[in-house]
Amino acid sequence: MNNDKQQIKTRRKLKYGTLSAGFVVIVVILCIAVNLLASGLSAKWDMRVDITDNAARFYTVSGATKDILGDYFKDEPNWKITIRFLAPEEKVSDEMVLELARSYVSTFDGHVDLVFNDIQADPAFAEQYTTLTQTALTANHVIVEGRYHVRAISFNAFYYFDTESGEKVSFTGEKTYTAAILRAGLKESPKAVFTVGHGETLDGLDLSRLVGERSEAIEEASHLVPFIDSLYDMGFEVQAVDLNKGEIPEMTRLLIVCDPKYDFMGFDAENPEADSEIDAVRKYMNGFGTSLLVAVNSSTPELPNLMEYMEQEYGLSYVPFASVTDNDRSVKGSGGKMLLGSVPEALAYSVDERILSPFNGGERFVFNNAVRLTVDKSNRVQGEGVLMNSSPSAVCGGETGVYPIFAFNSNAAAIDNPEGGSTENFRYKTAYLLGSTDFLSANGLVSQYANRALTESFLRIANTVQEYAAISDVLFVSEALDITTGQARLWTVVVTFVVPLAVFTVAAVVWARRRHS
Amino acid sequence: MFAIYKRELKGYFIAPIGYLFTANFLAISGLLFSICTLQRQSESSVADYFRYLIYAFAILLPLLTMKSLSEERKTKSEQLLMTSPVSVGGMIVGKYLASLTVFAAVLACNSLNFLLLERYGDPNFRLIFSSLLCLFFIGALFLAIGIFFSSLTEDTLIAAIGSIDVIFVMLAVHFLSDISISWVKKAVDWISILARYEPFTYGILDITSIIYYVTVAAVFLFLAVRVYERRRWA
Amino acid sequence: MIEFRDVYKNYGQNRALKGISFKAESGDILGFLGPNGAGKSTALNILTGYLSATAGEAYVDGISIFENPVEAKKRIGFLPELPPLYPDMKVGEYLSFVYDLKGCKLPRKQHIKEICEVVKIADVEGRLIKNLSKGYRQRVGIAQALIGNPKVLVFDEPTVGLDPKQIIEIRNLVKLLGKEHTIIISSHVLPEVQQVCSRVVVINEGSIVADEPIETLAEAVSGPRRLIAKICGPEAEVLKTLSAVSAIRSAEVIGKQDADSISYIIESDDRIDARKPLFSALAAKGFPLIGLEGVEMSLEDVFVRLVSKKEERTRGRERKAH
Repeated sequence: MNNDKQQIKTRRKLKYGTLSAGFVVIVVILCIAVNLLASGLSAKWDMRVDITDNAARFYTVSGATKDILGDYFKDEPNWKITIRFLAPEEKVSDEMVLELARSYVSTFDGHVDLVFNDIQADPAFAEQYTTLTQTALTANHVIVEGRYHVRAISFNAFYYFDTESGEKVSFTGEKTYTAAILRAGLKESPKAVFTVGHGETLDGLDLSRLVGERSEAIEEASHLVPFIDSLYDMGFEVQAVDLNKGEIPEMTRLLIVCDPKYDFMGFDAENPEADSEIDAVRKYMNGFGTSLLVAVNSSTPELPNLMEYMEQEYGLSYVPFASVTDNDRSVKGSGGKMLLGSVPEALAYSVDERILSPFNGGERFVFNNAVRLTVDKSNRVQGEGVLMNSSPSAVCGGETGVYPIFAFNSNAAAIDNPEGGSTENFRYKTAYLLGSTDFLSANGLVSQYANRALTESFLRIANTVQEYAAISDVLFVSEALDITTGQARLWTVVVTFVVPLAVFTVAAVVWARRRHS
Repeated sequence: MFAIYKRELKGYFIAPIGYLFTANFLAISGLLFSICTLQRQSESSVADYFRYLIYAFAILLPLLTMKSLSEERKTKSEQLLMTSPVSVGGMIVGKYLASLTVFAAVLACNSLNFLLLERYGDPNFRLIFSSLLCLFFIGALFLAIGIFFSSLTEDTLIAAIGSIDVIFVMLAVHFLSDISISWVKKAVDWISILARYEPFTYGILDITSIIYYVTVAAVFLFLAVRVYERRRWA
Repeated sequence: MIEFRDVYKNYGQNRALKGISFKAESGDILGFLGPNGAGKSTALNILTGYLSATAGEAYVDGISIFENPVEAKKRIGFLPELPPLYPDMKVGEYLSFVYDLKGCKLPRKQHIKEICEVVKIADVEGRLIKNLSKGYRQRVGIAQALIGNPKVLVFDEPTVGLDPKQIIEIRNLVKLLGKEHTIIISSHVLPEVQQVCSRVVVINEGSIVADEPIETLAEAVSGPRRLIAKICGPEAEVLKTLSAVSAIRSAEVIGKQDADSISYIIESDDRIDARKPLFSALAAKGFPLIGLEGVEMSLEDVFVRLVSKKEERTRGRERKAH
């Protein structure tokens, strides 16, 4: 009985008395605990739902990326990638880039980490990365760091901008991240390989000196030849190979034929079984290779075997010795030979979009001793384009017109799926034909012109290990309303006055009807 | 509890208060909507509209709850509720849910405005829907604050002003986050209603934010129950 | 049916109830008598669960109101001092709401109709409560308490502020209800309690002064009766006439209000009605009696008498025991 009373007393105290203050505190603590727990869980499980557009989501890692990276992560469970922002989490200026990174973390749990470093508070931290990536880092960069490589990416590289208005047209974040993650995690660097044996030179350097693993020669060359330096900057290892004597190394992503003086060896009637040089190129392009760059100029002789291949496979060729000059738009004093290229108006296709996206049309590119290219657009389903045109005032063989001086063409080949079955991933095979070898020379690259920027943009695309057609860019949906001022005014009146007034009327009716009952 | 809920709901619409609230809500939100979207034509921004609407809630929603408890306390009709076989918690939750229902219904009505966007443009309804969802939970939190203040006083005006003040402080806290002391900043961002709304503005539905709004609302309702229990005991 | 066990209630420093205990059995109509501010309302509010007690226990039908409030409250119909009405509702809507609130299981329409008939509000069912007169509102308040047919009815000052006709109606209603319910009714008006109650608990300054059957109260109040009479005629003659009436113990002049009449206060013996002999005597002498009214006993007087009666009885019992 006494015990009962005691119990009742405590219960009442808990309910109303001194203990009730404690009760309140407990509930408040409980509330905080639940929220902390939720924050904690959200780091582990994805508690953020992507509610961007219906067709494509900005922050959802697509099936294509899951396929690609998932395979790699399955093969190597210890593969760790760190995505590093250079500002505290709440100060990262681009929420979209950050949000997508979060999405990678939650999709590839355990493989991708998200780290924030404040480079403003700790500038020394940035420096170590600056040396690694050769980029002046700002808080507007994100670093993708793997076992073998570090990539610094500017936030701008996550978007495609409209060249005219400078507005963001689409979000290319998933491609950017996926490519960077693959790149950072792969052990071997991609290789840029020069062919030799046809008198190839660059900036006066006999490229055959680079054959083999002669690192000193390459090191030396990188100091002398800006293009080789660019290749290094963009993460390539540089090598040269004589197709008659050696194989194209497997990590080659870019095969360069620079200023050849003699033709490649084609089909040999005397020795039909043997692989010709053209066969080697074809094998490379049909196999692991992704890009081929052939640079010629107005003094390059006819190259029947090489051009037959280029024309048949990619519809690209040139007219030997057909020099393009331009008296109106060219470097003064060059006699019209150093003409200025311009970005073509219509960007047709994702490869040129991506290469040219850093440029807004105001840049000038210089092409010395340019030769007229021919671009055969017929029977090409995969897409082709012109990266650079002459201006309309250019002259070639006495005729004035717009002549292509840097062209490309792509084929897309399905990537083998080792487990069989269909795959939605494609790899682009792109051949580039550059009508001015001088574009790559020191004259072109080290100048006030935008040649170096274009070269690096081109190399960045070539370096992207694989081009996946299935990873789509997400278009920004415009919220713009197509409404006249008059209509806007009318609807404003309707939603602000008419509708509330109707409610008032109902109120008045209800009140009047009830009032006297 | 259901009986209280039902009566309260009915009470909103047999007296002018419910209609006044509805009309004012529709007018203010309609105006904000027009300013942020229709009038801006090609620069229309639904995200801006939602952001402003939160501030409008701060003033409008306390009007819905100010009477809930204080009026009954003044007219002593609460004696009926408190001597009926319904717990204090049930009574407060019933009243709260009634105000929440009115709010949700009006919010839904007001959402018909978005059809105008469909007519003149190409709105992203997923984003609109999830922002509305989040705004609903923010409103639910504001209503809980309103109920709490209504439990404190028998003066409806004081209840309204008190809750408006507290809601404004909770919103204004957000602007303290420019403070350079990092832990203060972190704490501010953690409790800030607006900071937690931020992801919704760029297209992310953050479930932790919703958990936050719901739990804080629950705390305020719990406090209202405590106020009643204390008063009964005192 | 109802039990209060040593209930204390403090409002801060203020002690409103100082340990009150009482019981009401099934079928009782218990009068809760006391002056304003004695603690009647506090006690009833505790009993119905509106307030909590500082200490003590209260049971309804054996169920503790503190431990199991929901069950206990199901057994009580409560009419507070101010009927808990919603002015914006119609009577029918309101009763229907109370029906839901109490989680009633009886057939709704019939039950509400029956109650309306019992308390005679069937004719105002469709009207707004705020448009009703005070008497009707009080009845709606009673109707509300009756919903769900609770075993115990608690009425806090149900007749305050009503006109005499309404008071009589309400009292009759309470008597009627008392046949089927246990009722506690609080009042500060003595005759009300006398008329309707079977037992009375007298409370003053937070303590119970008396807890007696109604007969004891009747005894206590039926001490000497006092009348005030207005009589025309010479003062000395009238006084002489009055003293000649055997039923009258004493008579005094208390004042002269108008030209030809004088007011007298007349005290008669216990349990004797002096009015008839008074009238006959005056009539015989030819002095017109133009006014006669009884003097109600003040509650304080009743307390004093009840207490003294109680003491007498205990003394008596003690004597018997000896």
